[in-house]
Amino acid sequence: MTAAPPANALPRMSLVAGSPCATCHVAAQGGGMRNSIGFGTSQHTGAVPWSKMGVKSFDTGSPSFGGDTVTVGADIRSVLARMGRPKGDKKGDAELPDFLYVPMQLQPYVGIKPVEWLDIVGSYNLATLQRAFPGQATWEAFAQVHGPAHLPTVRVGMIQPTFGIRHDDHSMLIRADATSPRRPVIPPNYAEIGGELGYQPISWLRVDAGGFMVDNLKQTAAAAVGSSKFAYSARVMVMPQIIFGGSGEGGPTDDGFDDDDDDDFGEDDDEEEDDGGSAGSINTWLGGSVFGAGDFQMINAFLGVGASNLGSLIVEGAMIQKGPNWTGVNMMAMLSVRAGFEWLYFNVRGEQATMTEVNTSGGAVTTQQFVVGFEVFPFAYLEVRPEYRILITDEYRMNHYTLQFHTAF
Amino acid sequence: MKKVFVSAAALVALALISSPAVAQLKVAKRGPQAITLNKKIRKNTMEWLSEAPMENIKGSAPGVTGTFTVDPADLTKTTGKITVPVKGMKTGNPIRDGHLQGAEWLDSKKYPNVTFEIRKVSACRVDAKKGNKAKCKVAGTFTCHGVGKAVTTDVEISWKTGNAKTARKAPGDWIKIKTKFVIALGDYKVKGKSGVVGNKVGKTIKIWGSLYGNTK
Repeated sequence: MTAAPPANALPRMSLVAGSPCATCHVAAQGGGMRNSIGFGTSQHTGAVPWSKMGVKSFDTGSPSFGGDTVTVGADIRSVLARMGRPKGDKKGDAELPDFLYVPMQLQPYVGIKPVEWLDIVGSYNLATLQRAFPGQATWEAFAQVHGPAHLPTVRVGMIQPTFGIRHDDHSMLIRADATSPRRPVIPPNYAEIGGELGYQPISWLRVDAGGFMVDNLKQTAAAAVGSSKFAYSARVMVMPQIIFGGSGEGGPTDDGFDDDDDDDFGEDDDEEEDDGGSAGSINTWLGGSVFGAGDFQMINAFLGVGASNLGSLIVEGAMIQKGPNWTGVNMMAMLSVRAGFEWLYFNVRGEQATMTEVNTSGGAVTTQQFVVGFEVFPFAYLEVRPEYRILITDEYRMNHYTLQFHTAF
Repeated sequence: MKKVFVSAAALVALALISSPAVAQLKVAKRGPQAITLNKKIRKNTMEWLSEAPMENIKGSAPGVTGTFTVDPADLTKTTGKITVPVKGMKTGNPIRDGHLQGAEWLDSKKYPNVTFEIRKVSACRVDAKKGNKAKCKVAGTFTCHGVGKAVTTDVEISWKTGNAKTARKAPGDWIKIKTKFVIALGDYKVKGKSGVVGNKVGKTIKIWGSLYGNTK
């Protein structure tokens, strides 16, 4: 139970809204600094609006100064855990407090946009001064050049390579080592010095590829990385989207004009039911990626499906080659369902990590985790996540409650 | 043979003269009818879609108002105008709504409304099975951001004769007008923020909607 992970973007938001991560975040992979639209989303999401709190003036305002020249933001996250007692702990030496409080992330961002096509962003996670995972980056900074859509975007600096899905909960096992589930192979906010190209010529296809140093990767996979000095990453993602509905009739994808049975004037509609109709969408992801250096390699495949105002399902698998002697297979499935309000989501997640030492009789080491909980946005800028977690390793099973607080703007 | 030919020709001529005009709905009302869009029937909202490489943005434009003069016996005589307020347009994100309505985009303060005014209705085909429905070509002036351009769109018109059930919501006969068309932002001098059109906002916008009105 070492450093709890900081968290950034919510991938399911992209699947539900049908907007890519870049709609709200400066970096196209998502996470980190938000742009004015991301800020606006945080500013206007909450069960209790500003006007009911008597601070209507907070309903407007922007994190930017001088137009968009300078933008500030922050992620502040902490978790309070009610720890259970590990059952079946063979070592018999687990000593855990009843409650554990962990400041996970105290990360301010500053972004500068000297010209329209250039973003320069820097941030520092002050929470890592207290505790950090091996290989966890304490800071992130990059320059991003973006031109017309037919040209790729270039990002250079201290950045997280784009591979798999960048989840916000790094207690997930998808990037974990089953033999050491609380010390992920790829730690939270993992970043390296490097550069990456991103290319999205059409709305449903994106390709990212980059080259990086390996200073932080060596802290978790030194034996596998060996003498290699550089890491590589590549990800391909297709994101088909089906847009439907609107005013009870078809949108551009539904000709409607040939529907001879369409004779509905809505005379049976109740006024309350008549929402005036608005187009919805089914949003999907299908992708694969590779990240590696030396004898270390991680291959991810993922699938996501989301529907506006309903929820999302994300499934991801990862094969990890941690040197010639260790191979791992990690899998995760997460369902998020809107629980009646835009500010309330119900989440359930199941995952498993397996690591096998090859050419031995030791067999595979397996860790499983099940998480159920809610995402609640009581008012603007604040997310609260009560969750119940069950962690099952080969040595023990432990149940615990967590309550996470996240302020983001 | 000559007699047969003349008779056949006469029959064809008679058919052409006496056949009903194709722009005629099979409803009881005749003569020009004043139609007003009425949100009590259904909310009158236009919707739109911007498709660009970085994202697709679905939006809505509620609060559409308008008046028409429609003669069910001759739809080609239809005139009218609809007005769409810019202030209420939605993009799914409040900050982005503000951008859309702001000076860099549609500039709601200077140009509070988008309008469409009918100039000509032609090529009407009445549904043979449902005589109360017809498809027509409507040419009009679409005015946005202070610029008016000729736009032609396919429109489907449905006419519902009023009854006791419909009268509970709105009096008279009801009419539904369904349409879709495409506009180019550049045609209306909507430039937006530098670098956004073509990347995050499409150069063309698909617009569609169903509008509901009634006679008195």
